[in-house]
Amino acid sequence: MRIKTIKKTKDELKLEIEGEGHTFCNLLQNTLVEDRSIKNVGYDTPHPLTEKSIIYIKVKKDGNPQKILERALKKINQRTDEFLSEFRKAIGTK
Amino acid sequence: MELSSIKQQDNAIRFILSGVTPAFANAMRRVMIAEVPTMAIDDVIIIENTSVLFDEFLAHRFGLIPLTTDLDSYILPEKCDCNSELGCNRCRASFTMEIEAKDDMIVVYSGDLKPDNPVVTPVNNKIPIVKLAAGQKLQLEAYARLGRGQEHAKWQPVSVCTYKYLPKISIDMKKCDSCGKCVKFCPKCILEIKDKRLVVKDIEECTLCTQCIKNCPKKSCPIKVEWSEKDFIFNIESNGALPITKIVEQAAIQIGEKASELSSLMKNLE
Repeated sequence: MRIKTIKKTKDELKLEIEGEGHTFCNLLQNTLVEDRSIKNVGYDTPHPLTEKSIIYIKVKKDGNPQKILERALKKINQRTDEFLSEFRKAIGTK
Repeated sequence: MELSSIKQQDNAIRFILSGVTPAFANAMRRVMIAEVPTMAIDDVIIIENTSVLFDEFLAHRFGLIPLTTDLDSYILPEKCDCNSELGCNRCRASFTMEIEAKDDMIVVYSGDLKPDNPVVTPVNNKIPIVKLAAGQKLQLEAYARLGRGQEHAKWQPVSVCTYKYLPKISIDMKKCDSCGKCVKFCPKCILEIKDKRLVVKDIEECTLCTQCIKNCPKKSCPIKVEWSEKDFIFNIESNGALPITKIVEQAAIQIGEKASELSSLMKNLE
């Protein structure tokens, strides 16, 4: 994974993520939307054959796009950890 | 998040995952199909081939054989530091095959591949590859490596990986006279008449086809078919390359890793 900042202002952030497609970006977008400080968020994969995605975040007055993105990533991490512990409990290992 | 009614049978698993978003369920599904790595033959060096099939044809068939995978002792070639085109012991497993039909016709099976590392072997030894007539010979070396389903379907660990919303059927008993017509029309046979009352037998089997509503003789149908957008029934089958539980765990781990990686890249960006 490699990232490149395309646009960065006080309330906006546009990132190009190389090596990720719909699988991760759709999850990230939907997790970001849950945040109250988000005004607008979207992602695009400009070409289906290139492994590149562009994610765009716009926040409300009080938000910081970078912090909100990190909060969303932490949320994804928590959810996968929760899933793992639930799954291991259900199949009876650990 | 809650995981319930888990049913595991050899290479198949079925469970209900409650309290997640459709995006999470879909990410899990997509990672299981396209990003959990497995072993598959990628390079075949043919020394002798007098069979009726072309070399390319044979190589393709070898590639499609599912191989038992050990994710702890092998790594993806792009992550290996050997920098060799041929690969090293950490990123490649090799096989040899030498077989000749002497007096009679024989069938070459996947089990005729002799693995160098006994951990990486064909999942099933009875996959036919080619028939050799008397006097025909086949001699080759094959190299397997880890790969992902997004590159080629031969690296896909699952043969089935689906989810559906958990159905909800409510019957208004004030309006329903339990005539039993819907019971006959339900293709999954999930409705039944018990003590002269219409009841739902096995809600998980419902495919939301609404045949019960379409065939109800009442003007306003008492049956309501809905679904929950927070509960998912997962149905996954492994092709044997990896144990089914390992695939599910690996998918969750990989999504977590993606998030951590992006998070650490963000910090370096500042």
